[in-house]
Amino acid sequence: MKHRVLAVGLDFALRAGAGLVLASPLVAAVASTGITRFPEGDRLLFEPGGLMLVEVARTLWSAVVPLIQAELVMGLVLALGLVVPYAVLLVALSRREPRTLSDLFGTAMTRVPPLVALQGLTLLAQSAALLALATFAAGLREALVGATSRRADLAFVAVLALGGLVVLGLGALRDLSSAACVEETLGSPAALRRGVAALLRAPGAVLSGFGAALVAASACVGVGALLTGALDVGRPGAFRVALVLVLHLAVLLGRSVCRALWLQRALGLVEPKAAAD
Amino acid sequence: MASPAWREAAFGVVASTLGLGLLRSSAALVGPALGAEPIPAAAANPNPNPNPNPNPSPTPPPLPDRALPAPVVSYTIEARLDAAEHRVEGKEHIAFRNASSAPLHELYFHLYLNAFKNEKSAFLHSPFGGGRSSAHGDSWGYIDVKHCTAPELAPGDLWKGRANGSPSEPDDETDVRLPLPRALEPGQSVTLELEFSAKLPTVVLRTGYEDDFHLVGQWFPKLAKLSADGTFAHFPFHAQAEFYADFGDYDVTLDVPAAAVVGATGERVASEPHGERRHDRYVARGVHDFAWTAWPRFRERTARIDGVAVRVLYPPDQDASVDVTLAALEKGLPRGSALYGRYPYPTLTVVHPPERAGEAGGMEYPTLITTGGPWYAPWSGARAIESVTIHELLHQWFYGLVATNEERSPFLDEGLTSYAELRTLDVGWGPGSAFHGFGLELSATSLGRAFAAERAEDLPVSSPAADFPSFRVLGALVYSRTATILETLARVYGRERFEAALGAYARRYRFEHPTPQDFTAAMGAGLGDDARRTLVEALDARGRVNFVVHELASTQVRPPAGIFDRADGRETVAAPSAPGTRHRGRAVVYRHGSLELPVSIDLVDRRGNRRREQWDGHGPFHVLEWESTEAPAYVVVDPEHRVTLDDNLLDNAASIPGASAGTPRVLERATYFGALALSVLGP
Repeated sequence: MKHRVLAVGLDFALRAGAGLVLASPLVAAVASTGITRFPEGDRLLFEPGGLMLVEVARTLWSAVVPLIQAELVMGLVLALGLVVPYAVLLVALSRREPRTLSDLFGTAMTRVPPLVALQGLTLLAQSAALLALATFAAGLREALVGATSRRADLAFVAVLALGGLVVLGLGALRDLSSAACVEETLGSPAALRRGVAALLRAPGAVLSGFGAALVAASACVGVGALLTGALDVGRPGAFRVALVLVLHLAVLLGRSVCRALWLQRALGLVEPKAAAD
Repeated sequence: MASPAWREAAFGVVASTLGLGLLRSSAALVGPALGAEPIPAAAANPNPNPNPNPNPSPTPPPLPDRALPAPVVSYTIEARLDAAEHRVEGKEHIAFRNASSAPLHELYFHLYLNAFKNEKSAFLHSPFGGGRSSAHGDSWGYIDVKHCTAPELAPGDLWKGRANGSPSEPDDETDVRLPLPRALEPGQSVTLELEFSAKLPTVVLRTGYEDDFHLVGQWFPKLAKLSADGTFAHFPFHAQAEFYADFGDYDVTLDVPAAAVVGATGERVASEPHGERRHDRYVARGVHDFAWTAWPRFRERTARIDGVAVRVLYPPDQDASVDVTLAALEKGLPRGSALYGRYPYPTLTVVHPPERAGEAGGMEYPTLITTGGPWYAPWSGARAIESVTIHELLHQWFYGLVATNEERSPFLDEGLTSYAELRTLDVGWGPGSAFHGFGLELSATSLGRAFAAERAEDLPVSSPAADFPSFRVLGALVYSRTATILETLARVYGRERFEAALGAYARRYRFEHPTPQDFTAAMGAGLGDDARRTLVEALDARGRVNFVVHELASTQVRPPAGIFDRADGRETVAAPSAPGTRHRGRAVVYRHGSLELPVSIDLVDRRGNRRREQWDGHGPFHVLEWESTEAPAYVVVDPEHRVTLDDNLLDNAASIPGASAGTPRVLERATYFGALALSVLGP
């Protein structure tokens, strides 16, 4: 149990840390605009009306595209790096729970390469699916739009929503495959086959487990957004920033817990016993 | 050779990279389909603006509204719409009075539809790609005048003697000079009888058809505006220009298919079925143009707002948009009447074009405006419908009633309307007047200010429409920069006085055709000569301003040390070893640019205490020196953002080393969203 708590904590901490790294270029760019020379500092960016926010955006506009490109590359590297805490979490949750920390991390590190392969394959498949469906959606909208566009727009959104479901489904499949990879010490091809088999064998269980985690995690984000709005860091008071920081960390922790609960379920779904049943 | 495990890892990295590329392609597809476009405008500063003028003159009571003008040119038209061929066949009776002081030997007609006749027209070979439109239509449009007679002057068809009115555009057919067989003396009237055939293009800007939808604007032979000296303000129709005409009365009978729902300038006074067709008669008095629309699928909603019969025509899926449109009119119509003189007409028709004819949206005609926006706009957070509705509504004053030359001085209609629009949005919808959602509130003034600052020096704001190299530049200068100049004057010299001055201008020149000089003189009369000079400089001479704080420094005060010759002999005073308890600060504030505007300057110490100084804005820089018990930490120029015209707001402050406020909020928020975003890219 101790290792599981540790693994969840590590997942949470590294995700927050990766977020901090990802944020750094943007924060540096904003600071370079001169907003910190005002006594209110970056509180001005959150004031109603957005006068200074728009001014900062205007100042940074020419740097936006290179900044986004750099952030995407950095995000990709960080995302692949997050496979490490993902592996640790899966090992900690597996039925052969490690006895020591070195066992936990040692086992996890052996599973990182196939998990990276599964993650890369998943991102590729998700992106391809999204691109195909977005292309179809755009064409469908153009074909349907006439004197009125509501039907065309709704069809467009429906296809995109379908794309979202496909992306989520592929994410669930990745988790099942990753669970098989860790539980049975499989390479990525075999793990993928095992994941597909588990999905086909018990789609309802996968849907309920993944869906529940997704809904709970989304609820965390939603509640966080509401409370953040109420705290309004555009008003004076350093305590507001501190409270929002705590709130957002709590949301990230909640997401890590939801993820752990789903992965534990996924590990159960790919067990040989479950397959035999 | 790599181990199988690391081959797997390498595969994962390559696949992820490819996936990222595909993801970006998807975003490129989804964005345009969702209509992702830059939003217009920016932020009202809630801080009150104490008037810097020490001796403000009292705000005069508003002038009484003028009655309808005596017509210079009136039109009686019978027009038949062939909805299948998208043609309008018309008979036109023009009653024209020489209201100038000189005899007239010729008349000038505008045949605007010929702008779409071929690619040699001024319209189609002007910088169209950057113009108001994104296309020139899929089918050509044109107008043929079959004949023109003036029996009072001479028998026969005068049209045969016509010539190109703009020799500089030899292939353009939108500006026609018509010699008269004998002079028309000052005060003398003449009646012209014309017959014409107009073919509409597919919708381009403000006119045309799309399937069975028709917006019929600039569609009949129209006399150019007669000036007091007997010359005509005539010009070829340019893609970036609009119109100019004399006031008069219109009596138009439209022969349309029975199923067509029609909206038009003026008041419908008769509607009679004629078999499968219908004759609708519209009358409008004291206007300078007439436009109409016909579409069998229009839905209709009516309301009475501030005594005006409002009629909204809209596509079947736009019910929610109509609610927004009417709410905008509820705020805009009474406000416009209160500030700029009462809306004098009994009706206002608002047309929301169908999706594929979206380019017909966002246009003003007397008593008829077109709006627009997708059906989901009411839930999008963007105030797109409110913005366009308010803008076109306020054109009823700055274009409709104060009928300036839109071709020569577009800032007088679009710029003044943009100011009034942004102000109405800010007053009516608060800090989220341009966008509200996702915890974000952007005001119309904030966005408008940003657009204005981008093109400050390109060319004078008061340039003619055709002189702008692209509509992007015209939009930034004529719309946004004019609005920002006026917003700055309002904040600096006091909102009440400013609105009184603008209202006095609108009332004084109601049903007239003022020039830029009339406008600046009227504003100077209300705000003072400093304001008038600033206005002229900003409009005509690319005037700009940027306040910059430099050289903020602070030292601790101590008694002077050194060798002093005193009455009782020479004394050497050593520097004290302990620092003093008081601090002396010095800062220099520079004013870049030619506009001299008074500003406040705040000195802020480490405890947050503020001390304010005023600078009249004269001279290139201003030195601040002060002494206090607290160390100074910041200097901020224009802390309440009165000078929204300031080129760069981010250099308006300076801090001493170690006093930087940092970016904790941005760091926190970006870290959180970064962590969430990694859940999309990663496991």
